[in-house]
Amino acid sequence: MSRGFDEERLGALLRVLRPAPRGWVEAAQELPEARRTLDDLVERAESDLEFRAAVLADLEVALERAGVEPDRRTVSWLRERLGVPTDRA
Amino acid sequence: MPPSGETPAASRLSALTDAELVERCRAGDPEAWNELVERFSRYVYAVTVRGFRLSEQDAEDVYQEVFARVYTHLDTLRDDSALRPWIAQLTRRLCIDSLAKSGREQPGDAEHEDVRDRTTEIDEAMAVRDALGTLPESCQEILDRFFAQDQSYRTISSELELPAGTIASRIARCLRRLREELET
Amino acid sequence: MDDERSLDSTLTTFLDGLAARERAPGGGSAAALTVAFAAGLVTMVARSSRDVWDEAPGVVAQALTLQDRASSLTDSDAEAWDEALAALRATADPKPDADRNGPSRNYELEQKLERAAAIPLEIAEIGADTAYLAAQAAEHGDLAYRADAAAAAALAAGGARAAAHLVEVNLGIRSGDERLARARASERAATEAAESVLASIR
Repeated sequence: MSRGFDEERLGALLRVLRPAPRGWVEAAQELPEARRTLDDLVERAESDLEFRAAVLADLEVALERAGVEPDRRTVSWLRERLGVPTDRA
Repeated sequence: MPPSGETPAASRLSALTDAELVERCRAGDPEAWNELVERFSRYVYAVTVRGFRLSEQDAEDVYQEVFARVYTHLDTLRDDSALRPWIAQLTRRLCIDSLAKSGREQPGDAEHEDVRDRTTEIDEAMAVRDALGTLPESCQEILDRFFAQDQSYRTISSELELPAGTIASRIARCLRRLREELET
Repeated sequence: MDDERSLDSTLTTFLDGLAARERAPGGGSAAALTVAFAAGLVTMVARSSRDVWDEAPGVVAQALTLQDRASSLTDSDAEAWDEALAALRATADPKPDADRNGPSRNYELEQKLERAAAIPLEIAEIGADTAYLAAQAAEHGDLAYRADAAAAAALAAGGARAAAHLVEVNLGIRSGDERLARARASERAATEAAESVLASIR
């Protein structure tokens, strides 16, 4: 397919697709592993009431102990999986 | 376009079609997932910050949500070769949701037109990037470093081990090759 | 005032802001805009030289990119400078409960000083690249526009020199800092490119 782009337009279009921040890319790439860890954590919380109570007492600490970065999105996702109501700002 | 210094294995992955990549991801290949993220990362990023002009925080949230949903729902994709339009539609929808959630005033007709123009430009940029991927790696590197990564001639010269006085000429010649590739 | 800093406002408004008593926009913004002017001239020379210079279209694309980068730094420099100054004032806060030497405040100050130094460094590097392209345009472009190419080289070198000086005097930079070496290298390269063009047409 022929596209009539001259060098000037090509330069401008090459500038449109810039690399995303490296941290964003790596976090997205680590998603499958993080998900597996979180799935294991949720499964255990569903079968072990004492463990569930400990997790709910401090979600961030529970995530850190499981080796997962307790960022806002992950904490929110875990809260949702455990059926805990979220506070809306 | 293969990033600089990639291994032969990564190079093979970057040569896979979108459909082949989806198949490998479904089979649980972690390197295939990494390649999928790399392949669409710039597009998703551009749609969030340039297309819809989300704040950095909102853009990051949408970016991560896009890939989270892709990962979760990859099995439900009916046509593996439709990965690209699927990700495009998903990204746009999540951007619109983000704007609504943030309480920003819903865009009027003129703004919708602006968003549409910017996302059309992003689609054109993807086509250019696809064509770039057919050029020799030396051209891919130099064009990406200057135009998309804002590197100086000195930095490019040092990192690619090329004489500093040749960088601008090389960029001009590679751009011409890119134009010729797109004209065929 | 924000309107006075933004390159989207008229040039008159921007010049008024430059002349006002407030620190921003200041030398960094002026250096960035000067480099942007130079890149615009290179673009003009290259566009006018398509019939005589094979690489002219590619040079146009590069010059436009350099112009775009330089002009966006016109605003960024003003903001970064204001933020760094505010952070410095905050560390000198005489209030007894001010966490003057707290780790978070020091980190924040470091980040702001870093940014305030990074921007003039980038301006200097863009200036060097623009001066180089201007010299190429003078050598290979249409002779009718050679004086414009020479003017572009001189302006780019001036902008690079001003920006390099700002890197040098930035409060976060110490002697031996690699950024200082880079700034000086950019200044040298830009000056040499301009001098080679200007000497050749005297």
